[in-house]
Amino acid sequence: MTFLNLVRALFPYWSFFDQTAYTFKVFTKAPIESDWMPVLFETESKNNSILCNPTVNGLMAEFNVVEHFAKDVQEILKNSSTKTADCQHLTTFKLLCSIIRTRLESFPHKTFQFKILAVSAHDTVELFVSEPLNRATP
Amino acid sequence: MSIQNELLLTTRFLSFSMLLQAFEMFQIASKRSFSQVWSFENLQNDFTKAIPLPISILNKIFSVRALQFISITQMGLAIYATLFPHWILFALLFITHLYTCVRFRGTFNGGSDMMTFVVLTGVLIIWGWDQVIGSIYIMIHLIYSYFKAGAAKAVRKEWWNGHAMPIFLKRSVISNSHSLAHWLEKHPAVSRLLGWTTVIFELLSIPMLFKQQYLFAYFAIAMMFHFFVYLMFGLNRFMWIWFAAWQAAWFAIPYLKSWLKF
Repeated sequence: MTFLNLVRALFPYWSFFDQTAYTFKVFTKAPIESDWMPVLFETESKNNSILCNPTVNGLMAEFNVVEHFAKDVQEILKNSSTKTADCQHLTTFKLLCSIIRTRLESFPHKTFQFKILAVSAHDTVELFVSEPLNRATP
Repeated sequence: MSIQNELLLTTRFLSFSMLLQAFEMFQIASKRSFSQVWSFENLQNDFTKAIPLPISILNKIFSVRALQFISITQMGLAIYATLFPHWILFALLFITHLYTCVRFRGTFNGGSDMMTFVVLTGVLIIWGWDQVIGSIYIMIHLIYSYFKAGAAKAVRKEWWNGHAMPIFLKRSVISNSHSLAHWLEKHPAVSRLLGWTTVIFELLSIPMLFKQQYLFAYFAIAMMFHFFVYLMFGLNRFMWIWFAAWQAAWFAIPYLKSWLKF
């Protein structure tokens, strides 16, 4: 992350709704022996307010993390000879882990795992599967 | 300094829009889960790499409490700027908005953050230097924002064959939009029509400059378009800040036309 990245909103580029290829879906399991369940980034329209929209805009910011993490993973895989990405050092990885931890707060299990799928109309690609992770914040 | 009514409206809607943004941010930052996700610990790698300050200072600047404080400050500045607009207030709002964007690794709400900077910059030029140049700066970005978005869509076949609209509706964080996506999949002709309408509407923004008699109709359709986007995708911030930008356009267009002699 460079300083220019942090201030990139100063340089508008006006492209909206043009990325049609893939969307990303997050799945988690806790305990890790259980089945994958989706981590949803959605809410009902009754929480959508024209004046003050904290629930919806907060969720969009979280989903941005998923998209940025997917982009980071793709970058790492492109520049790597292995098929697995070492992502633990990434800010997006830390943010995504924390998002999933908040969703698993009511779960009693100590570990969890998550994966990201890239989904298009034609195929589904498993982009990243995490190691078992500690549910408590490190 | 006397300011034309359209530009006064721009500054007031900008201030109102930034008041809403700050109030929303304060509510988001007050949730317990926010401190767990958007903590300084999670973000510090980015900040320490990009900003040459000691980590203890960065920790203070980018703590959750600091974000709450900045949000409250922005609320106060925005209320004051709505009632008593002055360039110093907009310069301070520029700083609070930049802080919020940096706090979220560059941008919190994408395009609406960018348009907020455009209108802020334009308003600073209007109050500090030249009303015409400031309003033309906003207008050029406003018109180009529609045209560029249309051009980016026009090169994707999904926007012409009707696939794009259901794809994006299914990605919406508003779950009720997903049922419209499924309905459109079963009615491809309607989906195609919506896709074509969107692209053509956006691409028409530049030709509309030459047909001022249609410009108000274009503005009305644009506002309906933003309202639909808000309903389906929850993008409320876009609607308010684009509305503020449109007020400057009303002032700027006659000047642009006389300069360019069309």
